[in-house]
Amino acid sequence: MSAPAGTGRAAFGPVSRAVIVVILGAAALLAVGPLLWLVSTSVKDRGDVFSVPPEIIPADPTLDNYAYVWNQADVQQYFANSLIVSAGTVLLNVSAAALLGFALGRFRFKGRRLLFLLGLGTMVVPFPAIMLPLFVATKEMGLTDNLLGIIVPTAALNLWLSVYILREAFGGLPDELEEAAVIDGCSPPRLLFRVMLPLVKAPLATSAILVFTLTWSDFLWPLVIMRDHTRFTISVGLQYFMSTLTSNWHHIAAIAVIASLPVVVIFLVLQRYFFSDVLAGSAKG
Amino acid sequence: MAQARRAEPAPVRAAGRAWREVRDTRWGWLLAVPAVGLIGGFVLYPALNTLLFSFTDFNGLTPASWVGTRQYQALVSDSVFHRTLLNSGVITVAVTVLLVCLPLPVAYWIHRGIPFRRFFRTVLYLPVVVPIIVSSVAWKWMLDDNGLLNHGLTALGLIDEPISWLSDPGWAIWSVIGVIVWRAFGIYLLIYLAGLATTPGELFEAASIDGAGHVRTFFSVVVPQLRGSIVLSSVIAFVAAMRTFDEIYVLTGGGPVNASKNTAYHIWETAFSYFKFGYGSAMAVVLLALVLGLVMLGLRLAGRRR
Repeated sequence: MSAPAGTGRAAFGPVSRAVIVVILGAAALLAVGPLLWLVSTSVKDRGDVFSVPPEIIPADPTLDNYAYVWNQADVQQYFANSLIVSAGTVLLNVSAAALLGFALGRFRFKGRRLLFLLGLGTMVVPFPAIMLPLFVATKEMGLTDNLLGIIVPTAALNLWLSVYILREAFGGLPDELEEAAVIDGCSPPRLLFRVMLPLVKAPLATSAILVFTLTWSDFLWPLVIMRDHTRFTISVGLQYFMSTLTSNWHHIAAIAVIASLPVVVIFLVLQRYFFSDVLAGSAKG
Repeated sequence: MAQARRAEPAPVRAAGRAWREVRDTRWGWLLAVPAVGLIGGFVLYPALNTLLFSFTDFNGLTPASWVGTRQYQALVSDSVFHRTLLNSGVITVAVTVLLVCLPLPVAYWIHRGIPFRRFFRTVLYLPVVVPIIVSSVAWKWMLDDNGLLNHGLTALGLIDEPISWLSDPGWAIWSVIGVIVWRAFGIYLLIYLAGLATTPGELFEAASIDGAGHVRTFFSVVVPQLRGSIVLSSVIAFVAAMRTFDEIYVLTGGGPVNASKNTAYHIWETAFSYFKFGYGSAMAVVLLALVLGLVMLGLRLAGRRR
């Protein structure tokens, strides 16, 4: 995403440029429009929500809806649960993936190709197809209505995403590093933790951020295993709220905005990790 | 990224080679233990158990008894299940075609340089980051009979009566498809931009010198260059579309009368509303076989034409 690729002069003439910008402008409006409409609804009074014609920009915006939902129901609890679940999943997922990514990227051992392909195959398994036995197993372990019951399976289901990114990262480090370390009599764990891990901070951050946003958005599994509504994540809590308050769109909208805030902020602040070139290699593999 | 060097061992002196192989094998598998445990315990083991459940009358609570292939026989004549398979097919074909094709020209424009390209890239990716439930709620609100979309279309004179996007049997599934495509567009744009980033700029220069216009450059340079990215996008879009659940749950609940219900949703409902774990597992086995089989077939075909 640096300088325009291709010829030295501008790739598109002035007319084409104008047409393209108009098309993309319309696409951009379509992309954020429904989200902005939700934000607009969340700062309206109950009376203005269904006004005709609709008020696109609220005449007198209010934060009352946020104050109301934040203190009502279990919204703070949902929010905290989502934070714990997402952070826990990232920790487990990235730790396990870093160990295996290091092994796959640096070591040559029997069965490593098979292991990698088998793991990649797990990314293709549709979750609803394995959900019923997973539910039964989670129940037998006593982990329904327990945040660990979300964390461990979710870390496993997204594991290969991180393994893929970290295998590329460890494999791309210069061989001289490893040679020098081996000559110094450095053991593999030392090589991993002292020498190489500090050099793959950016890919580690990329997988952590990807897994965090995926987990934060996760819905079906938390919906299935949580009965006690103090254990709901924010996504499940939002739909629970909706099913009990069908017509209070100003309140529903406020919870929806609260539910999006952490991931949207992470995205806007850490954009470079989302648009990094880790994906570039994946099309070649 | 150092593609060529990946997976090659560091140059080792002859004396060290044997020692190194022993060390690599031992440490390689030791380091794989946590990952293999997670994948084995929480993906492969449940997948095998699904197969086991599908031959029982398990209800999720009390011990089950073996019923042989009775669940599968019931599936053959279950018209609701057939309807959900058809809906999964419609959703998956529409979503995959739209998500593989629509972002291609946009990626080309952004890559070749237009004003505000960073802004467009960010804004078009934003719906990917927002939780699926939130964007589904946003669209439920947009698509309401009294919603903003109907107001807008009426104001523009395009429709006389509000359209029941979510409760009209003809529209419901297309509303679900529209919301999925709207949400996931950015993922595929990102994949194509990453693919274009590794395309040598000289290719565009050569096409330009040969007098090729943008349309020809697009079809004879961009599409062939992005072959790998297009295959990747197709697989990701196909798998994601086959497991669609959240959007259906929020927008239509599978209705009206099964009009937008897919197999994934039906599995959930069969198990957790009707407590038929055995029957739901038989459906899950069909879904799993369809997805794995079609992905392998697709990858084989894509590989052959390379």
